[in-house]
Amino acid sequence: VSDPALLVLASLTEGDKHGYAIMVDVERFAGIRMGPGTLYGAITRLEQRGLIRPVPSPDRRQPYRLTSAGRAHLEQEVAALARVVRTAQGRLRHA
Amino acid sequence: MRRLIRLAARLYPASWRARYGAEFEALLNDMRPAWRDVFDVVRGGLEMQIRWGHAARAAAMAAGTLAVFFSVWAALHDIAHGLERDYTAEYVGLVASALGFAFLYGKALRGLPHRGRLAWLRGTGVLLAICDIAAVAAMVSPRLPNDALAGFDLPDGRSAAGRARRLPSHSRTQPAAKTGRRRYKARMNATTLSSDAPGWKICAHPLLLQHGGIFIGNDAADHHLDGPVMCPSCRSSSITRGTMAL
Repeated sequence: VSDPALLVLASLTEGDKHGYAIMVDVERFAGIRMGPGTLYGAITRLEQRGLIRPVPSPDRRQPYRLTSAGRAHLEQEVAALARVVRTAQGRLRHA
Repeated sequence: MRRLIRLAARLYPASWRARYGAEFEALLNDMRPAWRDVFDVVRGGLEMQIRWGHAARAAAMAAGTLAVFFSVWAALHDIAHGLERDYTAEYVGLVASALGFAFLYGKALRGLPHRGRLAWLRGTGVLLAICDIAAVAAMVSPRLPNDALAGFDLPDGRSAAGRARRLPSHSRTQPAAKTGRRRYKARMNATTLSSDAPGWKICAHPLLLQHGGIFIGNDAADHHLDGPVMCPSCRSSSITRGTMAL
C-alpha cells in the first residue's frame, strides 16, 4: 500500500493534480508524506509506462492525468490488494 | 533548506532536469522542506542517474556513496576495537569515498552561478579537491619502513623468548638478538597490542607508531623508559624503549 506509484495513481483518480497537490492528497488519505525525490521518481516511472500523462498548464506547476492504461493498472492492483485484505481478515477471524 | 535541496537536485541527470526541472522547482517552492527531503532528493538523483543517465556514472555515484558509509563504519569499528590491524581496507574505502564524494560534490556544483550569494561555493570545490589529493597522498605514503627494530628489557630472557614465540602470528614479534644478560631486540613489523600477548605488557612511547612498527600498549606497573628504541631507520626520534613485563 505504501508503493509511491500506487499512491500517485490513487490520488489522480480524483482528477488532474500537480506534484504538490498529489503530495498533500496522499498525506491526507494514506497518512504517508512522500518526499520530492520519491514523488518525482514515481511520476517519472508512471509517465514512462504511459500510466499518467501531463496536461497543459499555464504555470510551472505541471498537472498530470490518469490514462486509461493507468486506470486499468490501478484496478488490477486494487483487486489484488483487496484479495490480500480479504484473506488476511478471514484468517484473523479464525486465528 | 530549499537551497540545499536545490543543490542536491543537481545530482539528477541533465536530461531529467530539462524535462521535470521547472515543475520540480515549483514543487519545492510550494512545500515546506525537511531534512529528510534532502536525503530523499539525493536518493532520487541516484535513481534517475540509473534510469536516465549513464550506467557508469550511476555506478560511480553508488560506489562513492557506499564507500562513504563503509569508511564511516570502518572508522567506528577501529574506535570500538582499537587500532589492531592493518589499514588496507580502510585506505581503499577512504580513497574510494574521497573520489566518490568529490564526484558527487563536483556534480552538485556544476551549473552554479558565477555570481550571486552561492557563487562562493564554487571555490570550495577546488579546496575540496586539494584536500582530497593531500589526504589520499598522506594516507598511501608509508611513514615508516616495514621492519622496525625495538628494544625491550626483559625480566627473564628465557621465559621471554618462549612467550614471544606464542605471540599471534600477525604481530610477528620475535627475539632477534641477545644484547645482554636480560635484553632482547624484537623485530616488529605489524600492529601489536599488549592484549595480543596474554600476560605481557608492551610499553612504548609514543603509544602509536605509524605503519610498520606500531606499539599500542598499556603501561605496566613496573615499566621504565631508559633510552631510545633501537630503530635505526625510523624517521621518528621520539620513540623510546619500553619494557616487557611478565
